[in-house]
Amino acid sequence: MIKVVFSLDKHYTYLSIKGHADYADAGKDLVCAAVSSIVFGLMNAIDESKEAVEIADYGNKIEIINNSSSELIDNYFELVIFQLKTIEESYGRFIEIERK
Amino acid sequence: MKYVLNIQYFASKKGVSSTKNGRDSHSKRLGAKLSDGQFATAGSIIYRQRGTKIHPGTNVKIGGDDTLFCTIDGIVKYERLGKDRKKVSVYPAA
Repeated sequence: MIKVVFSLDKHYTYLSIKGHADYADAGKDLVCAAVSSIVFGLMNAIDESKEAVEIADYGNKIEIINNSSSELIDNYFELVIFQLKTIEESYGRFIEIERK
Repeated sequence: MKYVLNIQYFASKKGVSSTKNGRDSHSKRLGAKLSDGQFATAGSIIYRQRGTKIHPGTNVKIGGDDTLFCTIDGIVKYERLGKDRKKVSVYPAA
């Protein structure tokens, strides 16, 4: 199961995604493909924004720490969390989202 | 873009192992070609085998690949050979 944890105070300050969807074997895991696409898209968008955001890739875990107060980054986080919640709605056995 | 999409980033790594099996030779269609009581013409193959599961009997010879074939026209007879072995013979039709 993929575990998503995020923190939201005045801004979104933290987002981590880790684990395996285990929906199917590697190469055929649709849930993993959906989540990977969303997360990699977010990483590239943040990277292009040049805002004060740290992105760490641990190989099976992605961690994003938002040190900025940028509204743009907040919008990115909000959209991604909505997308991940949409997946969780239908594939709740393979992804779990928690607010810290 | 800095981050190249790995679309299976969150997939389990279980499914990637490769197996060393999955090979097999073509089957050689061994076994009996003529059964007991059948008429056989000289030179026809009676039994294809590896090693001597069945031994050659009367009017039957064994080829280089252990194939049994008959040397006369006649009726095929599968018989015992000693306590726990078998042989095949061909007897002229009455």
